Amino acid sequence: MIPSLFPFYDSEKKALLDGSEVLLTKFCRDAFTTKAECAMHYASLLSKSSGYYQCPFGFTSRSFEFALDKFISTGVIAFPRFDTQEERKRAKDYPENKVTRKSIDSCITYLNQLEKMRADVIEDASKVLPQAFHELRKLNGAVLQHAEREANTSGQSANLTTIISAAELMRNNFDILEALSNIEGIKSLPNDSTINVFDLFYKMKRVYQERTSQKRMLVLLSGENRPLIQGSQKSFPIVPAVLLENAIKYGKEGSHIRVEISGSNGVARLIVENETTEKIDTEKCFERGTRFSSDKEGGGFGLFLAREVVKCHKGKIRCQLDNGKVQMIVELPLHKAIAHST
Amino acid sequence: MISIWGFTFGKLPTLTSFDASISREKLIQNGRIVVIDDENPLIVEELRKVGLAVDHDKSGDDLSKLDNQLYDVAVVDFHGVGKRLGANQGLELLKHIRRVSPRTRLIAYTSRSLSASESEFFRLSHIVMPKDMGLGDSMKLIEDQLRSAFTKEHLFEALVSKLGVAGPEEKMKLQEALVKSLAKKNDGALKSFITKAFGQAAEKSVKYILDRILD
Repeated sequence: MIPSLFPFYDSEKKALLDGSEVLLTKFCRDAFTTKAECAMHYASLLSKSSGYYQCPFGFTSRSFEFALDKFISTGVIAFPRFDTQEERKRAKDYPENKVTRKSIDSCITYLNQLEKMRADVIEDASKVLPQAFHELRKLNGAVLQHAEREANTSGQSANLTTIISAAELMRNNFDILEALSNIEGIKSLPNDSTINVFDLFYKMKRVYQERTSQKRMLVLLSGENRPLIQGSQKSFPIVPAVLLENAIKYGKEGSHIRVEISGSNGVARLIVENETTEKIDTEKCFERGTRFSSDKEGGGFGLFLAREVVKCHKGKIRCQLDNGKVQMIVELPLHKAIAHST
Repeated sequence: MISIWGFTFGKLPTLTSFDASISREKLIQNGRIVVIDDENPLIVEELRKVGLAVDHDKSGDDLSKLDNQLYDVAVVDFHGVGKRLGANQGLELLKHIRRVSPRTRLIAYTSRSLSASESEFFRLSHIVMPKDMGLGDSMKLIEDQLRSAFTKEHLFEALVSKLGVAGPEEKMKLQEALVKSLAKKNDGALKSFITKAFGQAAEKSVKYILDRILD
């Protein structure tokens, strides 16, 4: 809907509405509900080119395009007139609805200028926001790298560990935000790097250590072998990040999160299991914007994104419920499995 | 199974079978890296600390060392470098290095979001290293790429690209000649094959690759 000084026809609601300066006449209001010609007039204008038309009862309608949609200002008697008998009659009955075509055109021009300004602002934002995002990432990277260097020089203190974990957590969140804002970009990434899934989860476990200890939780990571997959170093870490984040967020305080990683028969399999009291729909949980808890922060995008990334890696993800436990199971084409070294 | 000079009859050995395990010391000794970034990333200092030969080029305007195929690994930033080559900056530079020095492993070094031109930047590189990655992970990633730069498979693909090998048949012949040379430890055989098939000038233009691949 757009703001209008004059009465107008809302094609979406199929209704005639008052303008902010000129109101709809009682004649138009009644005719629209009782006379078939009236509704037909507006329906026909939607397919005609923009311009001035007279309704069957002598009122002026001005159809125009705005933001790729069709709009109709109507219910007025506009000068210069069509000069019909019906029109003269309406002008006499409704003098307060007499306007000029010039004033209607000015309003349309003004609307178009506003629309152009809005589009320009969006375009500017689309240039500036990624730059701001990039600068934030660099800043976070500087914190992470300097903390790492300090830890290498003077030893890993608890404070440095916390800073490093927080910065890595921030990196994960940046990756998730970036991927959400550009799913197509994520799909076009090359999938030719070799990824050690076990090592990746091990790293993620470290990143989320602070979060798990806050909820007195423990991540138990196990695997008979260490599967390697072919994938994107940039996008794939989103999967373990989302699965662990969710397991911590929705898991029971003081419980264990079990992560099992294996590779056999051409399939790399990772299972993340946690205890929960939330009611989860195993199908809908992967849909964009689906949430099962209102008291926890989140937008319901994580699992949707994880599914998209898994799909890009020619894999499958599913959710399984078992006696108060939620299992997220990911299966991916195995590149090769290497023996457990510890 | 009968095997002579590394050949099992009826089956051509893979190039990977000739890859000797390269020690970290040898990698550090022989590897050459260039970081092309208009800023001063900490990673340059870290790489130098472990003894690697690293050039830090802030503009990417001097193409001579790149054109001479001096580097095993190039870490290329997206913005602020390669302006001499065109408006797409880092992307143009990446394309240039790919063309003149296919043996160089390319690392796209950026934390920018994925617009169309950046996707191309990622696609043309061998791997992406985000600028906000930790130092330990970044070092590992660069070392992995350095190791890949010495593999026969990668060097063979670089040779194919540099010689402009046209079809699969020609490529197969070149691979056969390489495998024979490696098996017999006869450098001359491959060089004369290249001179014969591609001309004297071609042999000179791939000298850097040949030195590495026959090492």
